[in-house]
Amino acid sequence: MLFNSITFLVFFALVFATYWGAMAQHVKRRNAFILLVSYVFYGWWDWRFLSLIFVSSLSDYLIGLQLAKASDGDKASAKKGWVALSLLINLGILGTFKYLNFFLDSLQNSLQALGLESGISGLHLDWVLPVGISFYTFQTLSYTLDIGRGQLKPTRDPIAFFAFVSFFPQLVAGPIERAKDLLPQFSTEPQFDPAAVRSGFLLALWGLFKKVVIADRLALVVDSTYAAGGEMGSGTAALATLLFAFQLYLDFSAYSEMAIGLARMLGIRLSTNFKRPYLARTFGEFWSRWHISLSTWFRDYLYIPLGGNRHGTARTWLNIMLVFLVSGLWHGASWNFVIWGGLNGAFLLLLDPLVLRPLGRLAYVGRPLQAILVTVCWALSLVFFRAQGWTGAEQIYLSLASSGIDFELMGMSPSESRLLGGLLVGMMGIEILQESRPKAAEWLLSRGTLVRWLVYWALGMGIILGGSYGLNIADSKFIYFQF
Amino acid sequence: MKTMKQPWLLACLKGLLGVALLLGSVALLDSQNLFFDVREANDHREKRWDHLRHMSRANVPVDVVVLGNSHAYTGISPEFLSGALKSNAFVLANPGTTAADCYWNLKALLELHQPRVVALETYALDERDHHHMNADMLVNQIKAFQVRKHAGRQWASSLSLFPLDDLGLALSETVRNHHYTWEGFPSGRGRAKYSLQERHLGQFIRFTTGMTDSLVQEYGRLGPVVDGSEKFISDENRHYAAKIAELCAAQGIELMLFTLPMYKDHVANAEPWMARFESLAEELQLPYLNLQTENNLSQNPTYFENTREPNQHMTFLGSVAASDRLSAFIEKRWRDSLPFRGEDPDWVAFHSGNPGLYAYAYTTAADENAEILAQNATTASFKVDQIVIADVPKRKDIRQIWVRLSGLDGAQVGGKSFFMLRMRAQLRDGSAPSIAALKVPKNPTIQRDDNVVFTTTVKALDVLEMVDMSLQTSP
Repeated sequence: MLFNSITFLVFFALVFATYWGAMAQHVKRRNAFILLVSYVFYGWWDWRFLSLIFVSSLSDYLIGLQLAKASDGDKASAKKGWVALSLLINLGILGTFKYLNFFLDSLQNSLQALGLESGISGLHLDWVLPVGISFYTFQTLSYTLDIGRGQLKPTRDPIAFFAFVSFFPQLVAGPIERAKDLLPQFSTEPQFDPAAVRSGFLLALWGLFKKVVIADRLALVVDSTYAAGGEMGSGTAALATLLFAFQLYLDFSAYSEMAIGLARMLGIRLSTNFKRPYLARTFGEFWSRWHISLSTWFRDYLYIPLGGNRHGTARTWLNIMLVFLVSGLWHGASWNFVIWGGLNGAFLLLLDPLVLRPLGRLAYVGRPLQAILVTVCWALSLVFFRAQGWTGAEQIYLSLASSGIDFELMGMSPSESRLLGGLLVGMMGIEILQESRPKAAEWLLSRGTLVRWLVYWALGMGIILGGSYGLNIADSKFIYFQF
Repeated sequence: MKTMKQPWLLACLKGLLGVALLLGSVALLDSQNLFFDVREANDHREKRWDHLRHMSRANVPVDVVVLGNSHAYTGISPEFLSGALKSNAFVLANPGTTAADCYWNLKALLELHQPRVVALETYALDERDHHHMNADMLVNQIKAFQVRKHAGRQWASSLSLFPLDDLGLALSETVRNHHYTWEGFPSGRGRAKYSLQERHLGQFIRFTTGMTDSLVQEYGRLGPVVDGSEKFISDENRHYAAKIAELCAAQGIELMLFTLPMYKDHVANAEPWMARFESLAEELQLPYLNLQTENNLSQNPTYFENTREPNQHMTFLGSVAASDRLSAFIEKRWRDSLPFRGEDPDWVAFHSGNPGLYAYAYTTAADENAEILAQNATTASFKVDQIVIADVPKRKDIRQIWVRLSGLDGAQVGGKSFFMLRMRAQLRDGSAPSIAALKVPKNPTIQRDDNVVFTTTVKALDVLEMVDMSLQTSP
């Protein structure tokens, strides 16, 4: 079930009314209801893969209890054993469904390069990747890891825990919530707060607008261009590369905003996932603004355990590169994503100190130049993110060295170019406004009913009349659903 | 409202109000035709319904209805079917649609007419269902849905024809064509232009020439295109076939299934495919006519569209042949259920100019589109039912001679590869009358033993009277 579908609209309307009308007053009933509707939401895509969420949830719930016992008895080795088991189960599920074929292919290619024959191609699994598997496994892992570190007490309420793992607004593409932030909210009775519902609704509607009107429109252009492979000029390749950067941001941030907004309408707070990343001045800052819930996850559960910056410059650099490579692999089982991660690690380690920080010292133009350079470098790295395999990325990079813009190839009519340009400029204008006035949304919501309703109506009609949907337009899934 | 004890209820009501506001805005844009009238100038779907409504108003009842998809409206000639059955036949079929659309078409039709026989063509009973529609199917389903033009019926049928997520596209032109806001409206489109005074019985003649020799030879090299063993009937199509059967049973309508053919070499494993239809027909206790395995139809390249695309339709000539077989099937089973209108002057007047009338029935002296040259004349070996010379629609330069004979025994007709009528007639071509010999070959498409038909096309001339005629059975 996609957020940008009428089915979801009907589903959420029913959930909202039932939740506040009959469920919210009793915590256990509320949690059971959330669990039920979350499983319906996920099962709508493929009910068979509910078993994976169930196994992941059940194992971490039980391991959490065992970790608490081990903590009470101060049995460090037992704790490590239980944490290792949780890692094994969750990463085992993730590895099997997401990475097995990738590792098998890589191994086979390596053996072939050495002139060795192998029979491992027969082990290839013909399975689809379960939607959102990378998100919910990381979310549930944070629970056992935090208990293992003594930072969290385990819950004894299985329904609350299962609801925490499967909470439908953020189940398939985050934000990846920490148990210590989200789980306690399943132990308290939510209070209906009209202001929170209003702001949640506006945020969700804004997210839908960004997704349907801008990101999906960009998707048509980017898809046409990438489908053309090596037949494009440099202007075309550069424009497509830049447009994909915006598409990815708008698509993913739209999902996060819808998730946060919808959860807020149900009285649940989710963490912020994006903070205007294309206004970042360095790559360090960029990663504190982009997919924040994943960046902080890797920081807390990988970078710091590796030693962080506590063991000298070389080790810090190594840790950073390692985190970025793993982060790349988290996004997809392909060497392209690993290279993409590596490039971003290199940007952080080299561009920040050598180019971006010195650039920031320039009066007036320093800050805009920094933001532009970060965005351009990021966009260039995304060629590996978007292209099919090494060859696809190579074709785009080679195209950058040729000439001309082919708007026809990009599927952009003059009116479409104007519209897209206007939408992107408007979008960045709003981001700049939010950067200087972070309370702009609150200000808008406090303007009185007529203004609020006018905004809702304008966004709604904007989605209906400006959205990229309809006949001959393929279903527009969110990009991050594949991860 | 501020004192409302259930603030969540107020929020729900506001949400409903918001949705209503948006829907109202869209309805307003729809009513203003913001996105122009998108119906194409040659949209035969709408033409069919306009004529059905007109026939209802004009008290021209529809007796036989053919349901199906594009195979049905290209592959059946309702004009010839009407003539053969001496009733009014209508093809109510929409391109690319399935049994659900047929069901809702029939429901809508029953509000206008009370047919006695319904024939459901089985290409509509394929593997598709409304949850798995590609864009083409969705477009077709939407267009077919819209031309039924009845708000209540459309709402009732909407969820059985469209997934929830496509409902907006089906119900609103604004939603469906919103992209023109940014792209600019296409020009050169407008409402279909046709006269309701012209008889239209639902056929859309798309193919007038058959397969070329080179295409026929390609089958030898490339093999068949469609594999019948891979074809099946979706659960949804089974369900709606059963609903059509229920509806017909409730209304006392006779229902049958039939399969129009594709070229024999176009289809591999036709038998298991057709067996599925046969089995469905048995399950629903319906008669089934399989024309795919009738060799003198499926082996004739002139009857089929010149294509190796999977959806191979019949040509106009093919539709005449298929209608001939279908009429024989219906007549054999349900002659008594069908009204016999062959002697009704209104019926003859309605079908004036219809070649199906001249091929199967008697026209009258009042026919403005044909002249009777002879009628009910007897010779030693056969009886001349009627000979007419008829205008050809939209052609001033030619006319057609139709001769209907009866009284020939089956053996005399069936086994002959050559059958020619030699006629002498007094003509006036220009000024002075003269006697001319005419050769009129047997029409190979119409194959009913009780109605042997000879046809030829001649220059537009006045035939004053028949002098004599003889039957030649060898070259």
